[in-house]
Amino acid sequence: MKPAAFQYLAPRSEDELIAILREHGGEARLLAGGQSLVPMMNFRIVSPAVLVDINRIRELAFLNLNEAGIELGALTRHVALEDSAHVKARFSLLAEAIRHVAHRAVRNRGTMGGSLALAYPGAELPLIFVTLGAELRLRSPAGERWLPVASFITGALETALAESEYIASALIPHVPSGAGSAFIEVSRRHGDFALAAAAAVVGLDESGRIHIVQAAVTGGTDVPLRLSATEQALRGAQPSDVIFDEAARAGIDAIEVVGDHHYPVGYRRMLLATVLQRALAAAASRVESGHVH
Amino acid sequence: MPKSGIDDFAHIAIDPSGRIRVQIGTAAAGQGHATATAQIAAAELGVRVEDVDVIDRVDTEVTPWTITTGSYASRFSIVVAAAVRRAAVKLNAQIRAIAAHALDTTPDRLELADGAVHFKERSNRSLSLRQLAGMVQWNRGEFPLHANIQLHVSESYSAPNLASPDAENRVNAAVTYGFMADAALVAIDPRTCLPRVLRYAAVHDVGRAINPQLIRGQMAGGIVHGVAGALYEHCDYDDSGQMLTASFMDYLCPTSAETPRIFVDHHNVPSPFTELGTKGAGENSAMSAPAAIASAVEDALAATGAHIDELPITPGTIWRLLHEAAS
Repeated sequence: MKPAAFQYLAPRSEDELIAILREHGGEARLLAGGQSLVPMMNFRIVSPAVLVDINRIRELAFLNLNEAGIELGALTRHVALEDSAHVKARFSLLAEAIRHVAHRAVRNRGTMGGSLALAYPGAELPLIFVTLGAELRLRSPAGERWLPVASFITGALETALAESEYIASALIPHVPSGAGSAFIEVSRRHGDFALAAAAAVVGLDESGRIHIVQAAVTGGTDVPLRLSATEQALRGAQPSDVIFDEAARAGIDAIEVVGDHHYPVGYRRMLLATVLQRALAAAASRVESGHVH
Repeated sequence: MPKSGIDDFAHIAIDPSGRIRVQIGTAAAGQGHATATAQIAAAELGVRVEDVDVIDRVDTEVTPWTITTGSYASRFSIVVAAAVRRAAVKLNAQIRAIAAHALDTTPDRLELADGAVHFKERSNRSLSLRQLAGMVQWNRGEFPLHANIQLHVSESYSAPNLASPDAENRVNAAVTYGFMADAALVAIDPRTCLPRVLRYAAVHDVGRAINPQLIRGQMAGGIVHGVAGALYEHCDYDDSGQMLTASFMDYLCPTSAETPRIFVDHHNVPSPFTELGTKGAGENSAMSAPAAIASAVEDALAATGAHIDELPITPGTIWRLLHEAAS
């Protein structure tokens, strides 16, 4: 199908964008990479009256590594993360996960802001952001605010973005020095959204016990979820396959998981526990082999 | 009206520049009918494959057609290829008859090779197809008035062992049968229930192979389609009849990443029932792969006593089988 008729606007700066949002607000949708929005418009799942193409706003496309972490503009393409030596060296979790986002052709166009604004439950980038405690800088004609990604994503395909608000950038804090990380995903085909995915950061103290642990999953959950039960169970523990398995199950038992005819809830829980246990074990083994942040 | 499809045609001509043009009644979708047709015509007419243009498009307003026109039922290499060969043989005779006038000889003393009409015995006289076509095109008056000087012919081929439906409307629709033996190596991760075809081997008997490379492509394509049917592609509806797999995001076609390592071999025995000894290669492992893969999954799940009788085999299916066995 073809999309319903819409007005097309292409601002060249954030100032112009804010002026457009002040005028059109709720009837406008922002077009970034268009890898989800354009098919959704063609299927008429969404029919915005005004399409605001932000691809010409260069100030929204950047990647800055600094002491606080890594700052990404909303228009930063997935390939920019994939191809960055700095991201690979300092944010290997991000570099590892980004390769699971669809295929290279999609990553050429897809953007950080687009992925977060869509908030698809099986998407990789929101999961990494939740795992690492990333925050988003949201702007609107009324001003600017920062929001943790875990609060920004409110449900499947639902966010806290107000009508005339847009994602300007994200700040992802560094993985603690000396910690290892891993991303594990299961999907029916390479490049699909995850059936289940897990991201884990594990750091060991001098006695070899776990003193840093960050773990999150997505898939069968409406939103990517940090797993406090898993993290609590592991803090202070000696890493082992058994403890990772137990902690993963405890974490998944504590969250709500939705199943359907094709993927029954019991299957979903097993799958989530599997990817989580494997991510934790891989992160810990990377610490032991010196592949740390 | 009873229906039977036992024949097909080929029309073949030399154009004024000396190139060969063949028109057939199948419409290939990547099988390589044009290439195979060009090979058959080139061999009979003593020209290079690249000197043959093939029209394998059907338009019922301007091209001949019958109930069986089109590309299906492994008809190409059985009836169409035979018609192409017969038409090429007929055009070969026609070319020699016309050339005999120009070279002041008889057709039986001539042969076609290297894009020209030569004397079978040693002679320094010859006529290229380009020269011959030019003469016929531009100077018909050089030839005897009542001679047939047309440089285009049609031929058809009818399979001798096919007939119309009987009184009970039964019909044998297969001239010949290809054979195959397939083996699939499938791994299932018990903690994700994801099945993965690691290796796939197929041995085929396609009779005489017109073009082994094209056939290998057909086999690989068939195997991937078989993997699709076994593990991925699904027309799925909800209780109200709404299709749930209406886009390629939900209707899962396997990609190169899901394709196993493929081994194809042949044990080809020419068919005694077809003009070229061919048996048809199009309906290949696409049919056997789902059965082979389902058997491999059953074998992997043997401890559960599982019986796979539904496709595609999804992770959910495998989880249920393992889950039921455990509880």
